[in-house]
Amino acid sequence: MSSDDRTTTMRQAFEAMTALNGLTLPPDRVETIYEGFVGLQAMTADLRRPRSAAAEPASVFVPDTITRGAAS
Amino acid sequence: MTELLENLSIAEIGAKLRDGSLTSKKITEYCLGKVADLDPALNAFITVTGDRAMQDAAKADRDLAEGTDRGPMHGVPYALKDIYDTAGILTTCHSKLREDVIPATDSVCAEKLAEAGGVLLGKLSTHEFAFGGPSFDLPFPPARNPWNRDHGPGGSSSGSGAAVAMGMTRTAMGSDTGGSIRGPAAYCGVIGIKPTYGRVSRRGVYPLSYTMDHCGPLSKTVEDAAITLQTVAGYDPADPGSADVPVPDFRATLGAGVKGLKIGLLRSFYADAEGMSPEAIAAIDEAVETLRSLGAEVEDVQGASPFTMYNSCGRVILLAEAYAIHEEDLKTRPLDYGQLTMERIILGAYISAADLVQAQRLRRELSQEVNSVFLGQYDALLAPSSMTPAPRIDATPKGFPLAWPMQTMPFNVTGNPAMSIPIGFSESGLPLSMQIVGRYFDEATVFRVGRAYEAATEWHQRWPMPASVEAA
Repeated sequence: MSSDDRTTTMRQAFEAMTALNGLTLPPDRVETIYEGFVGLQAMTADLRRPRSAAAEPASVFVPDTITRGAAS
Repeated sequence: MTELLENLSIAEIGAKLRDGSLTSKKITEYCLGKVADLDPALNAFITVTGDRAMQDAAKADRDLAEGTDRGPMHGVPYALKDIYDTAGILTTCHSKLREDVIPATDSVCAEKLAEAGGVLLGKLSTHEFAFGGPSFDLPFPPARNPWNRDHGPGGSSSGSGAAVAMGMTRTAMGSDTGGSIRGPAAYCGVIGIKPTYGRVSRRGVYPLSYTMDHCGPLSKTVEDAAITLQTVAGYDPADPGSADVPVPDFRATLGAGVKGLKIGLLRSFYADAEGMSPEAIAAIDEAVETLRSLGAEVEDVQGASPFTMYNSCGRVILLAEAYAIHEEDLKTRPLDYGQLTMERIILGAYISAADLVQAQRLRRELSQEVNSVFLGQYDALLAPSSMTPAPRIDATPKGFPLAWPMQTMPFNVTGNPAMSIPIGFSESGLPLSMQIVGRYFDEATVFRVGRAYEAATEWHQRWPMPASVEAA
């Protein structure tokens, strides 16, 4: 994908996600938020590295803590 | 000549309250006087609870005179960041969305401090919802840095840092999701400890990110912080993140020194980071030499994962969770947020489910690395609290500078206790600081290292000049 194509795709993805999320962005803030969106997409690459399917997230479901305090 | 009561530590106040040479009413009146004189230029407080404070102080004096002793905070003034619920007292989160919210019940921390006989002076400024930044489009003005009011005090516990640094109170509660206790502590030149995740109940504190939020104190000295943390720490079964782990006496080993301790310096986190201040690096090098001279063995440590992974992991989780909390309001009334807050939190809407799960998988790996690799070999770790001294309050970047390497973020990701401690001043007269990081639930060693360093230096004895604030 060329750089221009990628920019266009990013812009389209941003606009689609904004709409799908039901957000209305003030026109004078769109560019700042779009810049954040682009930075965030780049950042998500850092999250991925080779790992096994068994590598669990830090936020696993633990019934003990889920039910704890339920009565309060 | 008026006695400078801000020089009295919490322990010294306690001793004087008990030997009759000071009353809680007198110290409370003194603190309220400083707030009245200095806060108009600093904006550390949103609400001052003066009448209640004087009533509570009078009660503390009566109790102590009658032999009822509730412990080291009894009769001691403190303040709370304005995201802590306080029954019958405005709790705004520094936001238009909550500018008239008066909770019916106390947060757990407020309840514990009240039960301990503490005297609440008031509620403190924050970045909006503990996230935005120093903003001028909110119902309340942003707090300013007592060392130079043209600079920010850091955030989000901005009022807590400013109030403690200015001597309005020896201690205040803050909260820390990416560095919001340690950042203002660093910029204001005070102690700020983010305890282990789960050490202090978050119940009744407005959430920013459920798995990253920590409650803890900003205080003038290490001992003040240890006393405050002791008061609020402990298991709360109604907080899903609370840990059922015994709370030791944090002051028991404060004076044990650092001789024989092995300490790792996370130099790889910051040495080559773009924007890292040479003054901050030099101050850390000097602090390392001080610890070595006290008998600690300090070595550089190198992990397998680069700093950027910690930064990205923390920011993705924080944004996703924060957006989930604010989703409805961001959809229906986005303009009621300050611009900076809105532009930052809304980014969480663009994080995919897979991104969030990958971030949580990375979080487990990074936590294991810090706790097995680093803290398996070392008793404590050192890192910068911030990249630079406090920036100008009008220099806050638009949007969210995602790549800015927040040196505090790694320990929100891993949940380890981390404390910011002053280690010098820049040429421009602003505080410089570093973090001391400990093993899970080993705040005692963090305090021990901090106290040893503090006792060997004099940074904690300095105060901003009230005249420079009063003249503003």
